[in-house]
Amino acid sequence: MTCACCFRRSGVSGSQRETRRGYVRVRTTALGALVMLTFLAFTVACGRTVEPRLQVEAAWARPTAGGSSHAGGGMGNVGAVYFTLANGGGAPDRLIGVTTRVAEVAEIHQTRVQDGVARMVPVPEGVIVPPGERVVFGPGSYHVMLMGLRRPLRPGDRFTMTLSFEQSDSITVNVEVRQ
Amino acid sequence: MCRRPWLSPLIAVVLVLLAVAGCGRAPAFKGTVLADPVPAADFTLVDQYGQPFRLADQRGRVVLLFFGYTSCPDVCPTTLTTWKQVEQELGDRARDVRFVFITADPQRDTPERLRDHLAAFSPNFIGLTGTPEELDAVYRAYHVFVNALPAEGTSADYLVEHTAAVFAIDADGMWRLTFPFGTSPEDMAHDVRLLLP
Repeated sequence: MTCACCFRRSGVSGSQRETRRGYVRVRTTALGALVMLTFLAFTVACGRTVEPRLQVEAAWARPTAGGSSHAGGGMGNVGAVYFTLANGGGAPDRLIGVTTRVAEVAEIHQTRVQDGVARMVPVPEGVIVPPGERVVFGPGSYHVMLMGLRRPLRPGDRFTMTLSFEQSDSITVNVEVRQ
Repeated sequence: MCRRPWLSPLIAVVLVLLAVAGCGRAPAFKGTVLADPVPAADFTLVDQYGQPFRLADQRGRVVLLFFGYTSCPDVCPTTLTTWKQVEQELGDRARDVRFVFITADPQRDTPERLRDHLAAFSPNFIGLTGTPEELDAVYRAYHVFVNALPAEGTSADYLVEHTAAVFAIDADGMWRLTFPFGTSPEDMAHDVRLLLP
């Protein structure tokens, strides 16, 4: 804006001397603008590299029991979904939530085995994926716990699940049911 | 050392002989071997078909024991999947193995629920439940820790923390091995083969 102002002002100057001075001013200002633009472009470019870039790899779930116990509904029928989160960007991000239509509730949980005793711990604060790193959601570790499954998961079935992140856009993945 | 040049080769030979003898002495189990095998405590519980199941009736077969619950999404299905692979790996010999899943959550795990749950893995797996008192006695006998926790930060009614190891009882009813959670099916099948009569 200032530059546009300068140009206009230099354009309407009267004497040659003033005009020459105006040119000098224009050139100086243009140079300044160029430097600023370069700096701005650099900042934008850098800004892009310090964003997280997340990928969800190989999402799968174990088959679950079917039969009469499904008739009861409620939170009784549970399942687990596993995958790997890879962050190829330059900044950390955090998985903060998961939704899927196959279950009433999907929560991030972690299994901790200590002295031979397994504990399942809800992780409501989510899971951070540092830049350039991968976090594995796998058996005996982080997993998405499905509660209140609306139907049994059979080997070969597929369903979609959406993962929400603090920074990045949500990612919807296809989950394969297998053992 | 220079005065007895035969000493070093002699020591080497003795060491090799000792190592070979050591190998032949005991079968090399992959699981954790109980230093002093004890007779596995007997119990009678109810299976997924409502029939009584008595451990002492299983003599002549290897019994694998696991304590878990059907609302457990991660550790228990992982172990049952391992068992399924062990069963496949053993082929015909699996007929002499009993895969026994004892509930750590009798409140929710009815025989019917156990039947549905185990059927997703193998028709041969046995699921046991009982009264809380009967089950407590079994947990104690096998030093199994079971604790139902009120669940915070989750929609689950409650979560159960439990010992996640698999115990192996040999054909004579002796508790011989413990497999920590995460033991591979190959290692477990390997050890079961060594225990089979």
